[in-house]
Amino acid sequence: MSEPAAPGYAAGSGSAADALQGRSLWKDAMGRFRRHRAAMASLWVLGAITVLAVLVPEFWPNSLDEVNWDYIQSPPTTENILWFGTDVNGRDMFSRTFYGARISLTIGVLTTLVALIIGVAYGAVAGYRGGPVGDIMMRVVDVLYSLPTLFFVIILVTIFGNNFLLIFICIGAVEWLTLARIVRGQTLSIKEKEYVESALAAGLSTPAILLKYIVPNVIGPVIVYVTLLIPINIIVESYLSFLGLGVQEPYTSWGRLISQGANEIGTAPWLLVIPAAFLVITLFCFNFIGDGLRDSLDPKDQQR
Amino acid sequence: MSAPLLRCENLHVRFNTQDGEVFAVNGVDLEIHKGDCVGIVGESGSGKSQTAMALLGLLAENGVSSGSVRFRQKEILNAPSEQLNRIRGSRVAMIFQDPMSALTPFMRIGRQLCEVLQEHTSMSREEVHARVMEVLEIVQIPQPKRRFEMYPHQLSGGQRQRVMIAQALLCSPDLLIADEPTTALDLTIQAQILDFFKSLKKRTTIVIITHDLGVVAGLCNRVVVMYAGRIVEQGSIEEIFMRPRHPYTRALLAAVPRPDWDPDKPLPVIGGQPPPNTRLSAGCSFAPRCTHVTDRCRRETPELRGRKHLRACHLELPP
Repeated sequence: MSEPAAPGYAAGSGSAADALQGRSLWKDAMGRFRRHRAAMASLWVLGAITVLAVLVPEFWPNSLDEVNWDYIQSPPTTENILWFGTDVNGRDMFSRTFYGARISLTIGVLTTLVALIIGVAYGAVAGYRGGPVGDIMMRVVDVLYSLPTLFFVIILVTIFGNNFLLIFICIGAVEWLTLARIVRGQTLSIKEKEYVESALAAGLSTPAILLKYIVPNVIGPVIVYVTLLIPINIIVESYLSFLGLGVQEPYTSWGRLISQGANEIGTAPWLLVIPAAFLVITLFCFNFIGDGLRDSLDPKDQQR
Repeated sequence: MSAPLLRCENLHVRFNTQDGEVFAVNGVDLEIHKGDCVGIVGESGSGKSQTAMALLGLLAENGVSSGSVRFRQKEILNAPSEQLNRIRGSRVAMIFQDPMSALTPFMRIGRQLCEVLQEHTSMSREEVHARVMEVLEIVQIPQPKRRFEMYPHQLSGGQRQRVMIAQALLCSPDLLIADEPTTALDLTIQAQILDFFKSLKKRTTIVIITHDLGVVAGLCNRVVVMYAGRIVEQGSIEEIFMRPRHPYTRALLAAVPRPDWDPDKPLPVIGGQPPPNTRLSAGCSFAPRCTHVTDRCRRETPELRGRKHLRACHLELPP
């Protein structure tokens, strides 16, 4: 491989036999990714937030809906481990922030997964099928694209009621459009590649070619877009919650916390600053990871 | 003589492009018998590759083919892809020109090969694995166990071509079509692959598409010479190389550089250009470049005639 070994990466221990083992493009990319400092740091921060989001609501002594009568709208304090203070109802903000993290991250990841599945499948079929069918499929995307996202989600939420699962589906159903376009574009170029032709000549069926030859080869740019789509979806959930269309009390998400904090900005700024800071940090993390993945998946594009 | 393995009658291929129609293949009649090793030669754009692609229904989207192609007496031209998929890869296999880009980069060699077998047979996983290893040994790839776990970018061009050949041989096809199998390889690897093809002749019927007359001479027993989408001459290897009857074949053979060629002299070339394939004109398509041209050549399109040694020429050139 032309790739020089990274410090600490297979240093010394890699014998000749190891070097001859199958090394996929993915493994090469992972090696490059590990050397991308911002992306690796982001991965750690995001991991820490995720672990806290899982553990805090379960094990923290102050639960998210318990009212502390002695500490109504208290600023952050070490008393009674109210590190992030309490809200207007005296509920522990530490617990609420990480419960919000749980909801926001879950929505971010799951909606992206929905968008990913629909977008990749639709785009790959449209691109591979081509011709009038592919054109019609993409015009459908264009029409859906022209609907304002927020408007569309609000209609869906009002029609089908306010339900946690529905929010996933709504956001996912709106955000797959760009993915479908990306995947179609990639598919158009990949289906002309000789290995697809040779798969055809080997008599492989269309689903097999799509699944095993087209999709793995488009996944590079798609994965980069996905890391950028997760924060977009977190924001969409945030503003839905901000408008009162997201999760319901006593449960909460970052968007909801920020919306409530915004009301108290004059008297209790920590209610806004803390969840907003977590949201911003998380969005930065996803963006850095996206950058890192883009650089490592496309080595030809390196400026340095 | 028994029925041919593959019979192709009056095959036409044209492409609808933005600049109008392009006529790639204009009425090809071809019979391939079991055990043959046929070489199809011709310059770039003579329609030799498109003939092969049309046989297997692999034309580009804007390609239209007509005529008749019968494989084991069954019509396969423009057959539905389900029917073609049963034949492609298992009964008729194809090897492509560029081994560097004909393997998908994200899949291990072993899996790519297993894939083909799983598609066409109901073998168990162990049987598939055993067969793949067996074929990898047949194509003489060094350390097949290790290659099995590797990705295409870790193999050299020659090794990849061997993998491509292995893929083609997996299902023991009746017919192997190789589209310029050695063009993208360097000379020593070419020689190795050609040697290997020689040993393959015992296993299967082979059609080799090439512009390298040396490849044909060393390998094939029958030669088909194509020009401007038509077959101009066809016959046994001795007939074509020792007694070419068509002026184009003669010019081609004369243009092959020989070891005793004097480097100070210019190489013999065929003057002029092949006719544009955007329109079909009357007369012999080689007429504008032919040194023996007559008025009849410009008026009438010559038919392929003769019994064993066929040629499409009005003239009776002295052998």
